[in-house]
Amino acid sequence: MQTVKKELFEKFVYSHKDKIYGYIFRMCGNRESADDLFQETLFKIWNNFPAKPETAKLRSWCFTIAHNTIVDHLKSKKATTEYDETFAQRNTNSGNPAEVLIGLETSENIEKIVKKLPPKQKRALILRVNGGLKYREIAEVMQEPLNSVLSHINYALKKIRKELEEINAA
Amino acid sequence: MLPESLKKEFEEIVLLYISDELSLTEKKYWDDLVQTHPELKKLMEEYESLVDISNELPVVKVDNDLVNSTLEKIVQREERKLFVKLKEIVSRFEFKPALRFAIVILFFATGLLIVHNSDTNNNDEIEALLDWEGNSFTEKIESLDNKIELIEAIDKGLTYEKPWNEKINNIDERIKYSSGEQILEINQSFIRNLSE
Repeated sequence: MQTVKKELFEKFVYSHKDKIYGYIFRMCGNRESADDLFQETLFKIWNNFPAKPETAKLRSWCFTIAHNTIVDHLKSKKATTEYDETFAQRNTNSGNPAEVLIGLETSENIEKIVKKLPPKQKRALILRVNGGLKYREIAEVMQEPLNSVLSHINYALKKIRKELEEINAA
Repeated sequence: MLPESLKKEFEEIVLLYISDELSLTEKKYWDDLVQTHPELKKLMEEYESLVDISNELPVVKVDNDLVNSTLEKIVQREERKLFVKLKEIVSRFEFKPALRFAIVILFFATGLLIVHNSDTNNNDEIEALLDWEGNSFTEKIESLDNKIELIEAIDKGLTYEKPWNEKINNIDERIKYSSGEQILEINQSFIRNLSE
């Protein structure tokens, strides 16, 4: 039984590791804390990992654990959220150097804008973009109605667009 | 031009549409609506580009060494938990040190045996699966074919004795070899027809 649980757990971890880590990293802001919190989150997930997991519920449940771990950490340590911007990998798929530069600049700017978003908007957006969760799953994690989650995302997207337009105009 | 209150509502529906979270009926309804209202189509395009922009957020990847070391730590913690539990049990009784040592050794030997057996069982299952997909696939198909023939024969009201009519021509022998009542009836009526 324990072997089956371990196999399922490992399979889950390997398929969701970047999403969980990405969420933790963006919420806590630096790599060192993110590493510790990621480990702590995996320990907690393992301790309560169901014998017969339902994938749909499992994802939102794991992100809830990750979030609670971050909140506990911030409360206990009064951690500073210095953002390690060099660590995040830029989405530079284009081979054209000019496009790569523009892409780098855009993603750097988006990074800065997201960092400044109000907590709920930031959390919903990161769960969506980094965590790859559906809006209904985000509503479960945030324990908010679906309409509120859609509203947070909507405001966040509009804010990103507005600020990018301002940066480009300047 | 869409009224502002309605626009907000539509924006949220568009987000759900792009994320493929609408039911089939809702999706169909929305598709029809977009066809007849160009401003909704414009809104859809606007939001698709907005979502694309948000996807420009840099990807964060975790170091694989961190994942592997965490998984190792979890295994170690589990083992430690088991050891602490055992220690607790042993300490409840006032055993002599040598006896305590013997119990611990016995416990670990049993544990190793269980782990070894479960691994062997897993390997057997995997081999069986591979066997199904590999070497004896034809055999399995043949066995399935035979089962299908059997079901078809039952459906036709015949008892399965496939070789009986191929090998034995003698009608009496057929009756002897066929075990189903219907076959018996068929053959008996056949005999009756012949004698008439």
